[in-house]
This record gives sequence, C-alpha cells and structure tokens, in this order.
Amino acid sequence: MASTRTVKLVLLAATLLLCVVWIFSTAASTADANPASSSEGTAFASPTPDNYVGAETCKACHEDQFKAFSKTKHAKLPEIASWKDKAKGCESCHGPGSKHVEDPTVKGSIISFLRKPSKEIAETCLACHAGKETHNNFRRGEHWRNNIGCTDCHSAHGPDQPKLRPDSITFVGSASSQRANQTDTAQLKQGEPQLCMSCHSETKAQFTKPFHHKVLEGTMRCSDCHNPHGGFESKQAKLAVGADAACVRCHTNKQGPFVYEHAPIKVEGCAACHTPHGSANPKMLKRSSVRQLCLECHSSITEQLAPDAPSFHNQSNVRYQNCTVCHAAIHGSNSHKDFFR
Amino acid sequence: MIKRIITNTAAASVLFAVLVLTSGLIAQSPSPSPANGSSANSDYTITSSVETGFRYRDVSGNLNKYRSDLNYDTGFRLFDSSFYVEDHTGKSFFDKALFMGSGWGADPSGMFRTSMEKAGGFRFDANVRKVDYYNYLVNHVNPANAAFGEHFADTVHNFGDFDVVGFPESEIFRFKVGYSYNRTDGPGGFTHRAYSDEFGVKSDIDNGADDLRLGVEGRIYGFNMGLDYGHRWFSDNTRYFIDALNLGNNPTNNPRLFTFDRDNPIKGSTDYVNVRLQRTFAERFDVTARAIYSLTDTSFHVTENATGRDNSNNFVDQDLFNITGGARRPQVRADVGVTYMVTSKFRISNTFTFDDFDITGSNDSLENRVTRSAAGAAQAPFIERIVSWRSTSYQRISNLIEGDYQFGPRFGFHLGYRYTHRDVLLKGYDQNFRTNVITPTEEGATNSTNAFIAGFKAKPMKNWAIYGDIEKGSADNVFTRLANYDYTNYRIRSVATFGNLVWNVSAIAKNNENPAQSIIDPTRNVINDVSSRTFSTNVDWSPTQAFQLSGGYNYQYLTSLSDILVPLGVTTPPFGPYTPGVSEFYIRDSYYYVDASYVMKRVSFYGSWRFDDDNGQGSRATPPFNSSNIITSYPMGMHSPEFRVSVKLSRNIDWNFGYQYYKYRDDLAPSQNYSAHLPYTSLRFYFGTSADR
Repeated sequence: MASTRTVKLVLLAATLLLCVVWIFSTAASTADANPASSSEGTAFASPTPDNYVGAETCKACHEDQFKAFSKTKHAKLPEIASWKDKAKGCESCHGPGSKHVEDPTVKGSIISFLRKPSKEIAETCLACHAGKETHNNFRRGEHWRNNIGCTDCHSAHGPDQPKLRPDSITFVGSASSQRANQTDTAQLKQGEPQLCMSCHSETKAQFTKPFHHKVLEGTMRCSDCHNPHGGFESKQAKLAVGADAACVRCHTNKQGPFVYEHAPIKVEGCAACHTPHGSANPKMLKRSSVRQLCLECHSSITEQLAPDAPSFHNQSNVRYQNCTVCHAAIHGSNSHKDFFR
Repeated sequence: MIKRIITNTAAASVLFAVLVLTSGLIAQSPSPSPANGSSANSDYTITSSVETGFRYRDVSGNLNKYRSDLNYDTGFRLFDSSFYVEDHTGKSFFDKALFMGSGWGADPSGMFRTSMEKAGGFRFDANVRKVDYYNYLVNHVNPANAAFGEHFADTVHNFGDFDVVGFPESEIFRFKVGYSYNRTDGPGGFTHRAYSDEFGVKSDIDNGADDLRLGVEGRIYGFNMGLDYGHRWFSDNTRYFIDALNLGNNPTNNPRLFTFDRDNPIKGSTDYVNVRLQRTFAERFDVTARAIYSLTDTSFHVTENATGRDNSNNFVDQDLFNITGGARRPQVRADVGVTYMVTSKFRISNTFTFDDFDITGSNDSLENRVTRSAAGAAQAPFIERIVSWRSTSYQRISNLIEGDYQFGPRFGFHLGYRYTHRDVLLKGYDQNFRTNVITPTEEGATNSTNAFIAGFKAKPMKNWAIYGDIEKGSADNVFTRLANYDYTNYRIRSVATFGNLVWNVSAIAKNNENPAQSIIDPTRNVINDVSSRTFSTNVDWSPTQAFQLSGGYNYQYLTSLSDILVPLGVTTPPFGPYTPGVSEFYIRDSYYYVDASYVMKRVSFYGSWRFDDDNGQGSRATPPFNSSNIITSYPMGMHSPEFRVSVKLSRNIDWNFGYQYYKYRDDLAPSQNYSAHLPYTSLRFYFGTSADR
C-alpha cells in the first residue's frame, strides 16, 4: 500500500495538473447560457436581438421594481465581460419585451412569474445558476421535492430594506440580519435564521432549549450545517473537510481517525446519540441519563456488534451508572480499547 | 477569567471602534451620502447602525447551571451592529461591503461577519466567531455519590472562515481560496481510571485545526465543472494532571494518586479532492456527478506517569505508560444525480450515492510499573508490552428514484423509492508480549433497507400553501438491534397569509418500531419503539407599520421504550448475570412565545415572553437504582420575560434600556434552580440611510 505521504502528494500533484489543464481548456470553451429561452412559448416576442427593449423602457412603467433591481448584482451583469451580450436586464428572466411594450394588456406578452409553479420559476433561475456546487442538486433536493422554489426565499428584484425595530437583548436582532440591498448572501428575503424558521417553526423551540447550538444568538447559521439547495446527504446536511460530517468542521477533536473507533460515530453519525438543534439533556444527548443511552445499544437482548455491558457493571451500584466517568474518551481513543483515555 | 473578560471587552471595543471610525471616515469622505441619507446622487450609500452598551447580571441559585445554560456576564458588549457601504462610482475596489457584528464583550458567543464584492472581480466572505463554553452540572441524571462534575469544561472556542471567490459571475472560470481556523482551549476536568478506582483529574484543553481550500469552477465544453483541493492540519495537545493528593471517587478504599501527569499529543492532517460536473442537456436532462477522495491520518504519543497506592495498598513508585501509534482513514464518496424533465409538468429523478471508508489504526503500548509492598519491600517490576491493531470498514450504497407531477400552479405531488445497502466489518487483534497471547476479533454486519416517500404541495388559495409528505420504510439499526427500524414519518405544514397576518401550522409525526426476537431467548419478543410528535404554530401580525405581534406554540412529545438487559449482580435464566428490563424516556415539552414591538416617533417598545415547560415522565415514578427498569426524562421549566425601550435622542442616536429575566427550575432532585436578572442599557448609533427612521 502506498504511504500516506505519497498518496497525499499524488493528490496535490493531480489537482495542480488538472488546474493547469482546466485553464488551457477554458480558452477552447464557450459559454452558451440563454436564460430566457427556457420559458414556454406563448405570446411574448421571440428572443431575437430586435425584440429586446432594454431595462430603461421597463422603468417607465415599473419604476419601483427597476429601482430595487438596479442595486442588485443581476443589474450589473451587462457590465461584466462574460455576460455582456447575454444579460438583458429585466428581459433576461422576463423575456423580450417588445410585444409587451406594444400592448401591455395582452396576456402572455411577457413572461410573468406571478402564477407560475415554484419549479417552473426555479428552472428560469437554474438556467444561469446551475453548475455551482451549492446549486447542483437543487432539482433533487428536499425543497424542490416539496415545491419550494427559488423565489420563496430569494428576491430577484432585491428586497426592501428592512426597518429597524427594537429587538431582544439576547438574540441577534434586525440590524445584524439586515441586508441592505442584500449584499450579504444572495438577495435573501430575510436573514437567517428568521427566513428558515418562517417555515421550520418547530426549530425555534429547539434552539431555545437549555443546551443548544448558538443559532438564535447569530453565532451560527442554519446554512453552516445545511445546504438549503439540496445535496447528496440526508437532511440536506453539508459535508466538511472532504467527506466528513458537518459536525467535525468545528468539533475538530472528534474527527479522528482513532485506533479504537466508537463505530456508531462514523457509521451512524453524531445524531445517533445527540440532538443537534437543542435539548434539555446535558450535552444535547438523546437521553438524559448516560447509562440509558449506552444500555439501549450495549444490551445483549439482541446483540449485534455492540458488546454487552460487562456483568460486573452492577447497575445497583451507583459507581457503574455514569458510564462516561470511566469510558471518558467515548468518541474514540488511540490508547485504550475501552475508551478510558 | 479576568483575562477572558479583558480579552472580550478589548475585542468588543476594537470592533466597535472599527465600525464607528469606518462609518465616520466614509461619512466624511469627499462624496459621502447626503445628510438625509438619500443616495440617489451620491458616490456612496451607507447604511449602518451600531449598538454598544452595558449589561448587568445578578444570578440567584445555581450559578454553575446558569453558566452552563446561558453564561451572560456583566460588562460591556457590542450587539447587533452592521455597517454597509455601497459604491456608486465604480472606482473603489468593492461595489458593496457589509460588516456585521454581535455578541462581543460580555456575551458568551459573538460573531463578526464581512461580505464584500466587486461585480466581475471578486467576492469575499469572512466570519470570526467565539463561544465561551461552560459545563458543570450536578443533576438528577448524575446519580448520587457518582463523580459529580468530573467532566467539566470552561473553554473558549474561537473559529472563523475566510473565503475569496475570483470572477464569481463568470461562467467559464472562477477560482476559490479559503481558510478556516478552530481553536479550543481552557481548563477542564476528566477522569483517570486506575487500580479499581476513578480519579477526577484536571485538564488543560488545547485542540484546534487549520483548513486551507483551493478550487476552480467553470464551464468546459458545455459542462459545469468544479475541482477543490483541501488540507486540514489538526492537533490536540490537551494535558491531564493532578496537583494535590487524590483519594479517588471512593475515598475510603486503598487506591490514591500522589502524582499524575499525562501528555497525549495528537497530530493529524486531512487532504481531499472534490471533483464534480453538471450539465443540463436540451433543457430536459440534468446530470450532476461528484467524487470525493479524502485521506486523514493521525499520529500520537502518550506519556503517562502516576505514583500512589494501588488497590492492594502497595506503593506505586512509578506507573509509566509509553504508547505510540497512528491511524489512517481513506474515504471515497461518489454520487450521481439525474433528472429527466419528461414534460414541463412531469419529472423523473434518480440519485445514487456511494460511500466507502476504511479506518485502520495501531498502537504499541509499554507499561512499566514499579511497586513496593505496603511495608515498603520492593516488588518485581511489572512490564507489559501490547501491540494492537483495529480496522473499521464501511461501504454503503443508496439509490433514490422519484417522480413529481405538477397539475398546475395549485397542486403538485411527488413519489419516490429509496434502496440502501451497507456493509460494516470490524476487525482487530491484540498481541500481549508478556503473556504471549494474541486475541483476534472480527465482526460484521450486512444490511439492506427500503423506503417509500410521497408528498404534495397544494395552494387552495393564492396566499395559502399546504405541504405534506410521508416516508415509510426501514432504516439501518445495525448497532442497536437485530432488526431494522420500521418507520413511518408524516409531516404537514400550512403557510397562510391573510393581509398583514401570516399563520403557520405544522405537525410532524415519527414512529419507529423495531420488533425482533431475542437471540438468547428466541421465544421472547423484544421491542424498541420510539414515537415522536411535534406540533407547531405561529402567527406574525403587522396591522400597522408601527405595531408588530408574533406568537407561537410548540409541543414536543416523545416516548421511547426499549427492552434492555441490565447487569444487576443476580442470575436470571437464560440471560445469565443479566436481568431483562425496559428503558423508558419521555419528553412532554410545551414552548410558548410572544413578541411585540411598537414604534412611535420618539419611543419604541419591545416586549417578549418565552416559556418552556417539559413535564417529562409525568407521574411515572423513577424506579430505584437496583431496578432493571430505567425511566428517565428531564422535566424542567424555563421562562424568560423581556422588555426593551428605545428612546430617540437625536437623528443618529437611540438610547435603549432593556431587561431580561430568566427563571429555571429542575423538577427532579438535586435541583439546579436559578433565576437571573439581566438589566441592560445601550446606545445605538445610526449612520447613512439607517438614520431615516
């Protein structure tokens, strides 16, 4: 078997080589995005150069939307070399506006998203936004599956600036979640976690338990652990440091590998024993009593892989009731097979 | 502690100064926002508010529990502040920059985030975060006389991420560079087990990691591709020691430690490559594939020495351990997702995932123990060398096929089927060179599961959406029970908007059943049933611009019943030294909250009340310790009313006064009840458009 060092050097060299190949390949490649072309054919004008009227024309009637839109990154695309001939301002998403300008009362003269199902709206956005790692699985994610589209969370025109109001003195308030013209992340309609909790309302109660991750306090965000756009992991969890669970991104001393692994941690995941959002139980354990958590696995009533608690661990003796007093390195140990150190 | 308060206060002060000074500098630049905050004709738009103030803390009752739960301290704090600047000239190196900070100073957790971007040029995101973690608990789940609070911690976790994306809007080529750090340090407590006793020992916790990420993304020949390379260095230099005679958890028996010191440095690194591609063919067929290879390795050296007396009352003059070794984990993830849009209303998707890792580790342990009898006579030294090797192999494939159909804007549904298969193999051996005994171990498990999913979204009215889904099938449960979990999960949500009122309702039900027969007694059916129910509803109402009201209720119900075998020192045929029993755990938690705010010209009000009450196991009595039945829960109550008044002193300054009260109660002894008064006063400074209140 190749040594660890050799494998790592090969990984690095291969990556660098691929990067060089990549840079040369891009010269031979052309982008072919045509965002508006994905819309179904109706009465709106066909996307030929003559049928685009320009955002300034739209402004004449839709001044508020134009004002908000002009502050977004979408509005800046025509200034960027690679988008110069492709981004058409409002008409990038709404399609060519010439017929709509001729007679705005004609239904279907412009692409309107007001009555479109979420998935159809999402297809318009994905025409440009697909291809980035975070978005690649949106078409198969939980939100997609449940018909939550891009515009349920994002505002393509740029949302209104929120008014500051007096807020809690312990939880993060409207100033820190304010995203004036939304420079922060991706033109969200609200900041995290308020946006996520507007649907996932039960999580608010979880994050106010005595032991919880500091989400309401603003130190963590839902998107630190979850990818709202979907992914290959269950619960849209993110991976960390390659292919590890999101937890080890911060809990670095639990990453291992250890000589003696407590196998469920890697195989079942941290959530086998912990409640990640919050709990009244110390250390966010699934059970309040440690021995209960241990015995539910280490019980030979139907044993598989998890060995019995030894018979001398007499549970009528309080000494044996707090398992992790002795098995202190329960997440994994390098030097003791029973996790004593 | 004093050092930490000084550090936190200094950090808060620096951040506050940066925010205020930056605001001031930009406000005074040649082309600032006009005084009225309008940005229409100015070079910059500034939107900023910064709040800093002083919080006082008065805690009665159990301070350790208060600090473990909340840990708010007396002192200055920077809270809920942001500074946003937008450049309209195109001459700055950024178009937009946002700085946000909250919680620094006397708060236990703080964050500082920055986002900066220049369209077509770069995007920079950074966050710096800190959590003061405290954990010292003596409660009903630490049984009487056990080692109370041996595992405590009073640490600071500093962590942050810095990421730059070059040419973020380019479809053809983007690059990414990122760095993250994690540091945890501070005093803690641990347990050392030796000579048939347990000893609470101190620890200097010191671990951390540094991550470096490099990546490129872009489009080549129509394919969106990405390539990331990452490296993590991590280390754990926690030291364990005692600084006084330690009689152990049982002070009446012989064992005791005179000295104890353990150094256990662990170093490791992870290297990984993530390659992915995506393409949508003819606007109908979407393919995404990803492959990750990561390799993590660690090396360690344990040097431990103890002196004292053992359980036979011999003097231990030296008990020296030297243990060296390492572990390695190569891991491969490969995933493919495809979606075929058969029509604009009908789609079929398939998601395949593959995960494979092998963890192998070994150590070489040498113990050299020098003892004397109780009378002082030298005894033969005990020298033992053991070489151990362990391996955990894991392989899992999963495939989900699903279809969804959209009948129109009002109704759509989806159906799916998931198949999962996994193999786990644990192997190892221990070779004792003193006894010349080799002990091999090998156990494995292979398992397959199936699940069906279905769901819908209906919009009975334009502003009312109902989401529902169900998942029914089996789930892996290899390490806990003989059979798979049979589970059924339901979830329904309703989101309705009636003018200025938003009303959400959701209900989630999960039933896990694990019927099986005992291996030892095949005639015996055993269970492991977990039922959980969550009901949640909340209302947000804004009848006027000035008044806002939110309220909600959440009920969590959980009942878990598991057959277990408990060693109780008695023989119970056919279970030998074990006695069959049941482990029961209950949650009956109600959470209510109401928030209201009212904004007037000069004065604004905020009030809130949050109440959490878990009835736990209710009237079910906790069995005595020598029972084979274990019934537990964590019945408790916590409520926290809060109010805040903001008075507008000038266009740019508000004076705030706030107060929060926490009252916590444990329903089972020993209780850790506390109550805390947290009055607070602050000034909020408004700059730029934020001053247009």
